[in-house]
Amino acid sequence: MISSDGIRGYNDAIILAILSRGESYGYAISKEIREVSDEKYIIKETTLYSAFARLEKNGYLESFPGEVTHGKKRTYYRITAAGLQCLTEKRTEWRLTKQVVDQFI
Amino acid sequence: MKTIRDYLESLFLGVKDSPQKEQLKNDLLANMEDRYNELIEEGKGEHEAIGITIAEFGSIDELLGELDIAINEQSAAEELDQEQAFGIYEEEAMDYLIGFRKSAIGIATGVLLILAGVGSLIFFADMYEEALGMISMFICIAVAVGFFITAGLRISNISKRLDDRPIPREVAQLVGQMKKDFTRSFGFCITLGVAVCILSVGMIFFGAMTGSEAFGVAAMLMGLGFGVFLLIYGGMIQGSFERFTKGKIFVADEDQLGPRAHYEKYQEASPAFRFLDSFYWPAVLIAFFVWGFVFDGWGISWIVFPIAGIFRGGIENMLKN
Repeated sequence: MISSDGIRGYNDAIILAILSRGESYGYAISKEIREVSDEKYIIKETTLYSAFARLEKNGYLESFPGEVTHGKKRTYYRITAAGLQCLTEKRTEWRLTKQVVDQFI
Repeated sequence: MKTIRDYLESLFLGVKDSPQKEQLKNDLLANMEDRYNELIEEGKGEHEAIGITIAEFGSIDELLGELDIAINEQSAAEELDQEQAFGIYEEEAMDYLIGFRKSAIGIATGVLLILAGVGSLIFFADMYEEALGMISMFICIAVAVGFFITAGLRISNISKRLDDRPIPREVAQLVGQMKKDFTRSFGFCITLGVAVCILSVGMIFFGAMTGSEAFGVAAMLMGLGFGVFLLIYGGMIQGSFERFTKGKIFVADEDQLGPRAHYEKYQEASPAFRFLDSFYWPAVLIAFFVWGFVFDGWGISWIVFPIAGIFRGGIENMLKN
């Protein structure tokens, strides 16, 4: 398990990255994060929805009511062109950050 | 499952109802139920599954902070309170002015009654009806004191509500307009008041000429009462307008400035001015006594007060610039 403090700055980028591979909904995204990270990072539900709200406000993603799955009507999220642009910038920034931090730690 | 629903429900208790809230709650609940079912499938016990689901939920404050949902109705009311503690509303200013006008009439009437009471004492005493004179004077004074107390309480009451609150520009403009409209009435009150006072003094001579000096004095006091009534009424109302137009912060009592008013008054002032401000008038008073006692100048020493008043204005301007 990693601390949520350490990864905070990258939650938005991680969500954008997942959505760049196709639209999805809350639970599926948190499940993907959990499984891809091999349970090392479990995103809190409130953190996830805060990020949705923030990203939607900035125009990086849009929400729409999805089809009913398992008897529940869920809100789905889709990345926008601005979101893709932001993701590209975040990727570059992360490479640089990783390089710098690696040199010290 | 019910535990999870109740838990979520409790977190949203304080949040105002809105479609946004319902949607969010449904989404969160759906996610939690999915997570719960998954844990059960993995072979976790019911309680353990609930525990993990809730632990992974996180903090509702984090989410609400991002969502701009009004946190709850009570805090909306608190915000209103704070707003009230801030700028003075137009209606509040009007209430204040109306209350102040009533008090001005009360105080002016009180003064009129006292002068009339003394006048009646002199008038009756001259007719060898001292007892009647005393009774009439004390009744007048008692009623006057009643007027003073009522008026004083009302003023301190209405002032306290507005004390140290900023005066919004619209309110200052509105009151400024009212003050302008009052200018003629103010001039009328002062002119007529002074004229009546002067005429009243003339009553002494009239009394002396007709051979009834006591009547002259009594009539003078009565007349002075009316003159002073007009002066107090006009002056107090004019003063009540100025409280809104003079500064950006309402000041109920010049001697007890609230923190905001204090800041407004002193923010630009140099430390020298602040120092001077606290010592100036006591120093002037000492000068008055020294002149009187040491140099035996009681006849003229009062002049330090008007002179000091004029000087102070000049020094204040000099230090502020």
